[in-house]
Amino acid sequence: MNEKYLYFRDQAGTDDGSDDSCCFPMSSLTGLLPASATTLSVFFKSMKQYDGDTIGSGEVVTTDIVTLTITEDKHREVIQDIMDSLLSNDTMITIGDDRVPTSFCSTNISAVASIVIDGANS
Amino acid sequence: MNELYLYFRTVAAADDDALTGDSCCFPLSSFAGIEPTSAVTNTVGNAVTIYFKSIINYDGVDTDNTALHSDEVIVVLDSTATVKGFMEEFVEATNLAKAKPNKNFLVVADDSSSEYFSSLINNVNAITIQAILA
Repeated sequence: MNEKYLYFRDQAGTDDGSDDSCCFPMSSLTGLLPASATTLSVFFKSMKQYDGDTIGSGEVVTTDIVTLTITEDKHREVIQDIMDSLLSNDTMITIGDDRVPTSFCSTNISAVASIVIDGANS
Repeated sequence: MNELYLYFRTVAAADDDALTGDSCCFPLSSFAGIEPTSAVTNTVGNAVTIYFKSIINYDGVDTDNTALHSDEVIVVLDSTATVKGFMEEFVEATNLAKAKPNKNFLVVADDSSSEYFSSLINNVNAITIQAILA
């Protein structure tokens, strides 16, 4: 079976920098957690430090994080909608795209609040 | 084959589902094991801790030698349930769900909707998500 890929974009306009948009393989999805009453965070294996090796003093490797703005207290519903979208036949699945006209996999997602890609270590 | 995602929620009211530790969703591939636990005192029955690879740190590393622990979900079982019985139903349910082509989401335990994959479960006692390495 082909790998599926999840797409996110948090910019309505220019899309030319790290953290403006991203695409992760589904196999990198490590989990989902509420971040507040109106946000849900989606975690992925680090894009830049995939297998987690680093040697510099005081360095860490953590996951990349995409935070979605959602309807208040609809975390489970949004998770369910994301999972349903992963069952589609598409290989590139837009979870959230803030480019106008916006596109979201769930009616309970209103925006991609932020994309945080763990920086490359030395 | 599709990944299967496991859902847990420990808050009784959906409008209290706002913080890390209130609910969580793990891929089954992050499942690391189950053991009986005495970490929770309850008057209901036995309890088990289900371990998963850390959502936030996953394969992470900290060169200051901070230990990287698993995330944990403590599930309290019904008064007549055994730990082995729960383990058997968990394995059976996840295998059955994975075998279905259009199923990738399994609610293991949701205290808000009182939805449990097994009648052996009474409630979710706690969800512990390891903090981000720094």
